[in-house]
Amino acid sequence: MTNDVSIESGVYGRLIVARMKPNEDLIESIESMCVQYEIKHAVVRGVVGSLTTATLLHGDESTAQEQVVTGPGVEILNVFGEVNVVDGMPSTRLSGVVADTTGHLYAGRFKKGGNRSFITIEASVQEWLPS
Amino acid sequence: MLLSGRFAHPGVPTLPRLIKSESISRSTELRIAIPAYANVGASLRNALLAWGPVSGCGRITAGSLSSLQYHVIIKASDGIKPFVYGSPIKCDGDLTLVTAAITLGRSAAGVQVLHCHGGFIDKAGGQHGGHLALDASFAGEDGLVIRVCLFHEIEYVITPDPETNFDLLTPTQKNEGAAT
Repeated sequence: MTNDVSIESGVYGRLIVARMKPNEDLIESIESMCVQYEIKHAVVRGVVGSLTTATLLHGDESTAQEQVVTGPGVEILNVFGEVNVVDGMPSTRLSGVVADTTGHLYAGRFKKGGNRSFITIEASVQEWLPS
Repeated sequence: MLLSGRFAHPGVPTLPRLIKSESISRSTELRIAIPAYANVGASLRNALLAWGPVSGCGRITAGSLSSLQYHVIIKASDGIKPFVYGSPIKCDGDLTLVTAAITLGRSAAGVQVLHCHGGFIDKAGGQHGGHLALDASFAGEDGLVIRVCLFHEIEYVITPDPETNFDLLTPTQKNEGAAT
């Protein structure tokens, strides 16, 4: 492990804007967008929508605890994160906040395959081009 | 019907399942400051007027609300949609921002659409999250800051969806029709 801080300069590039239909997974859809458009690095700019059920992870990857927020109709309030594609294989870390059908808030890291669109998800990701 | 984490809407599913569009040109970034106690929806619409009906995405990045209306999804008692938005839930007083995201789009007739989901904490510590009715919500004492990213080549246009029976914002390449 290194203690050096890494700094990468760059600019934003292409913007991909999407609507996910019911039962499409949030992370799988964003990854497929990046792969299709051959985007190696992307930043999530905005996500608004609803989920049948939210599956959030807390803690490190190896010991993560899973929290299921029951729907249908869990509202996505915000999503932050990045996608990196190496040799066609995407790696994604998205965190955010959702609300259940009583308005109660939950936050965590979204689990791939565990966050399916209920009615719609509007998502915008932008390419990151390192200098 | 919910089966294995998947929900079957009453309408017929259509392809593609992921509608997407690509913009080569850079976006326009705006920082919009809503003054204290102003109506959030009206202020945002006015701020965007110079650009016409715009499409984009954004986040409420700072501030508070003095009054909030929001909706959560409830089981429908009748009609063709199994789930609908419930009656507005109203909150007054100091409402602290937790997080909020906005999609900007337009109706087929060219009317600006603001689709916002967000979460706030009331003075007693109660949590409130859902679909925000910005036209019925008012900025707090410190106002509100919204950062938006305007799309140049793509529009979000309200389109009827036969699967869910909702009218949904759908990405469309400007002057070219629906995206793929």
